[in-house]
Amino acid sequence: MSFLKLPQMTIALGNNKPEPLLEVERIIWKTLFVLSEGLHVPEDVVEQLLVQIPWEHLQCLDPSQRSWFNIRAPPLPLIAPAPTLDVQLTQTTSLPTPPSFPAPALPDHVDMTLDHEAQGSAHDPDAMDTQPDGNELRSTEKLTDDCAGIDEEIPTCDPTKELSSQGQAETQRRSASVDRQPQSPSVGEDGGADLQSQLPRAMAFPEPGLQSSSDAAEDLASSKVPSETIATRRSARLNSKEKSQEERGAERRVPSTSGTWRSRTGNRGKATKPKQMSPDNSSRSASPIPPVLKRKEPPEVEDLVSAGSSVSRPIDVDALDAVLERFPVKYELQVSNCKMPHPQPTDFFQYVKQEIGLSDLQQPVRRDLPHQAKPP
Amino acid sequence: MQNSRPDGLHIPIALLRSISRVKATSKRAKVTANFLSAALHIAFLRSAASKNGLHDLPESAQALMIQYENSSASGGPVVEYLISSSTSVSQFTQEDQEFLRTFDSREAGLGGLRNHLHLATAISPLYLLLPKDLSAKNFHRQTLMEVIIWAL
Repeated sequence: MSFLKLPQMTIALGNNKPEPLLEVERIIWKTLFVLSEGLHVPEDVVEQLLVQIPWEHLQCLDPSQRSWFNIRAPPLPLIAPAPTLDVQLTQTTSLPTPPSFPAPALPDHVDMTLDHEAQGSAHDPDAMDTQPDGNELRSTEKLTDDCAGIDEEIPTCDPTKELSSQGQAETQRRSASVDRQPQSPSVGEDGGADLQSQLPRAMAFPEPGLQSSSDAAEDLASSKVPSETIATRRSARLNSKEKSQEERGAERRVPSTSGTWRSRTGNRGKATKPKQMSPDNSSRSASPIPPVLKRKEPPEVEDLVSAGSSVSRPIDVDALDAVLERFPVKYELQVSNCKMPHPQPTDFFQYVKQEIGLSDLQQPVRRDLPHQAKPP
Repeated sequence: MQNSRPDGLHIPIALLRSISRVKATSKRAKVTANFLSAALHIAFLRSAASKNGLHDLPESAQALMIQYENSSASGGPVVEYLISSSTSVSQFTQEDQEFLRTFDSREAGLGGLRNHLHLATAISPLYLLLPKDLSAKNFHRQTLMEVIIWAL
């Protein structure tokens, strides 16, 4: 709840329902109170309700009104036009946030805390031995640089960064990740101005954004889907992260492997060597010399290759596990207990119409009702 | 004669009987049962029973039956309803007791009948249109609040 600002809270409470939905709700409430009086045959009352609901009118709604059922997706009229959002932001907060919703800043916040932790472990020489290679550390440094750029653009990340070491921050991060999951595919790891400029456009077109949020709605609906979808999102997230790291460190791949080899040889010889070598790795990694060094020592290249092939894979898995542990993804368990039966939130009425079988409602079959079979 | 004023548990019990009659096997019958359950809850809250001891639908069917027998024995107006015209209002039939015992075997108990009105008021009455047996599910209030806060 703490992540919801006032405009989001009003949206979350369902205050911006489209008028046709409110009309349907009024019809349902009237039916309920008529039923609660106990004066009419329930089957007749419900049948009258199903006839009274304007199904054709509901099917002619525009996508923005139909997307109200798309849970966890902010209403499109508040997202697509930038001026209305600016008005809302100036009314509530004076933050210089971009004209997108504040929620997309959250993934960057979590990545940033993660990178700070990784950076903190990078300064620990003992932790350096557990790190896969220097490439990982350099990539995290680059990511922290990117996040620092994001910090300058989005100052809302700062208080959450301060909370990252506390226990409350852990719970906040967990709840934030739940809110973040439908939006994480649209927000990449690189962040920055490019993504900020792409976000409003991506939200303006309903296909990508609504696709992700409809997936999230299906997460709510089924207890089996979430783990798979989140796993795919998580893997996609990590893949994008690794791709960005590979693109950045494409020229430095060889130095990174040589760094691991040096650390391995340091472990074999003396225990103090890797502590001295690890800062050198970061300094040498910036120079283009290491490919030549790799060619100069042919017998050790075999050792390097064997060490790289046998060591890098398990260490990479550990690093992935360490990253995955910091991504809390199990929160659907609380929500999946309720098993919300929303199969397709955007097509709610279509679903209800199909499920109930309203095709024969035009000619109500009264003999189907058990009450009508009995004589009065 | 029909009486529009809910003085006792007669209307809730009549609605409960109509739920048992619906036999929600088809999807349309499940929607009808959802509406009847929400109406039952409203009728119970409007009845005098909610002001005299029971403030909400009880967790067990036994408590409801005891309350109903007490209200009938106290000389409350016996109201014949159209939906319960074929059965006696003054006492539970064997069929009613069997139906109420089915709630005791569930995890949510008879309190599962509160789900419908809770969901309708907290989220949307459109929930009642879903062809699901909402009374069989055990909605934790924390889960419900979380769903309301960030799912809508």
